[in-house]
Amino acid sequence: MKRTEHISRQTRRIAKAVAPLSAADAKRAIVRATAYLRPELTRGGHSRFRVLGAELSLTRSDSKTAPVRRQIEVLIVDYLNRRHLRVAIEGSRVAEVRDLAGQPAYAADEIKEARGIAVRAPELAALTHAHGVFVDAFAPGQHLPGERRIGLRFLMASGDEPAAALALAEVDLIDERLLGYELTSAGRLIGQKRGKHGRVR
Amino acid sequence: MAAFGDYHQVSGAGWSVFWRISKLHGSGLEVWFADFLGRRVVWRGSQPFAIVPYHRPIVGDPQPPHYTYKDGAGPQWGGVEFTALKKNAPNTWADSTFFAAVDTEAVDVHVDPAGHFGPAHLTITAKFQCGWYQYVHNWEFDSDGNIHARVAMGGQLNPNDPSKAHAHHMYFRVDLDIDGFTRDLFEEFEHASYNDPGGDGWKIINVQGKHFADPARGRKWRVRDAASTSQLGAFRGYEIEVPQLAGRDDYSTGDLWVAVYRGDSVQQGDDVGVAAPNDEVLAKVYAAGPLDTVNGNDVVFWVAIHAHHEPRHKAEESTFLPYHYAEFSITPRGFEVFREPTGGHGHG
Repeated sequence: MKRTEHISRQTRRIAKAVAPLSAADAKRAIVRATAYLRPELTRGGHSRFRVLGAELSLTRSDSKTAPVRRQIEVLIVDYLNRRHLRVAIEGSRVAEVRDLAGQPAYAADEIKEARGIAVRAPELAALTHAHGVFVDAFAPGQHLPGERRIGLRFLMASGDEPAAALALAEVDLIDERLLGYELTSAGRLIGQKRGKHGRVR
Repeated sequence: MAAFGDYHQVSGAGWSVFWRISKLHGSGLEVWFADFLGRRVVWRGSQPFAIVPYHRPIVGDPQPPHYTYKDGAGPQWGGVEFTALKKNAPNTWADSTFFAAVDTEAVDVHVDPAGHFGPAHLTITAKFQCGWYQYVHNWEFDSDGNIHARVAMGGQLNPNDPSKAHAHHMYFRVDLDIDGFTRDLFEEFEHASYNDPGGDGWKIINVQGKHFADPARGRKWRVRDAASTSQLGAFRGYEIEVPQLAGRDDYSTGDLWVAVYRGDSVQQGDDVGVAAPNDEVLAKVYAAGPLDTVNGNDVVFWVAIHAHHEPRHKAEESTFLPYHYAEFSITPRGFEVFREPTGGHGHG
């Protein structure tokens, strides 16, 4: 079946707008967004932020006869100033900057960083050496605007059995510290077998 | 081509539809620009978040005082974003080796021909890991013009206490764009009695807000054009039928919310459930204000599908959860072009 079949005249008009986002355009949008925000991201000569990524974002025009607006959405977590920002790039200009109302999805490298902070606790580090252990992220408690806390579940998969929970940890990426953790009975057992013990500060 | 966020076109069963997954928002599968037989029907459909209250007390999480997760876009209260899985990922608590590296690894598109007992279908499906749960997002577009928005729940039971019952309140956002109209009216149907005239009736809704399902009165809703009709005088529009498997509660307080379009990057569910894991924001912020009953509106509606899960933890669900589906339907009314052609096989 031809892919052009059944397409409405409204959709035919937006063929250019729905074209895939190229890696070069995504990179340009990120550079443009961070350059535009640089003064806001900096405090006392320092900045600490992470670009979560860039994605295509289409939206209706204000006027019904105007074409669909093709924007590139860049999401940024500004750890230093406790902000989650959305920057919309349209063409080469910054069309919008606003604080996100809800927290964006955790990026893979944020989870990796949180895991690195969590395993500074010897008991959690011991778990990661056991076979079949993996870590899954969640959003602990209530997240107020600008917060960036990551919950980590340490789990063990074994054959066809359901994954077993070994430990629960909470990391604050703004303060870059482990807020606390708790081992389950299965987690304590594995920790003992690995012969490692420790306490979180 | 980007790993996520691009718009991918597929077609079949008389439909052309674009699908998309945003990784930045963790909000699941979206369908865009759904056209049927050359006419625009949907601007955008999504199922961006879920609210999941548990029976209490429970050891571990979900934690007091709410014992309730807010999953998907803007996760809160122990909730988790929707992470796209490879389509062949096992139905379990999948680790990151099963996460889709690009969106095309996640999405399955099927076109089934019309059969003796039903129309042809175009189905677009993807599954998402969400803590120990897996959610399957499925949109079916039929050759008779119907749309079925579905979600399935799978994965495994809460490892803290597999016996604990809970509810899944799954939220869908649908922005119909029938023939590109922005002069839509929103109406509610009720069956009051078998005595005509007046046994059945449609009522125009003049204010944005929350609505409740009522099977006893056959309640349904529709988005219809303010003026255009079929040759025989039926208003052109799409009806929304919401069968429920469970009821409302303190966390999920409605069945349908009618609002107006305010943009594609705002009011997408990210900010729901921040103050408490409930859907209060839908009624207080998204669906607030009047509706223009003369000139029409650019209508957006939200539907919450409620499903209560009493675990079969001692047998069938002890290792994994067979996928359990829930859905609602969007049905055309007043379009001659959607009539079944002579021959009885529907649009193939």
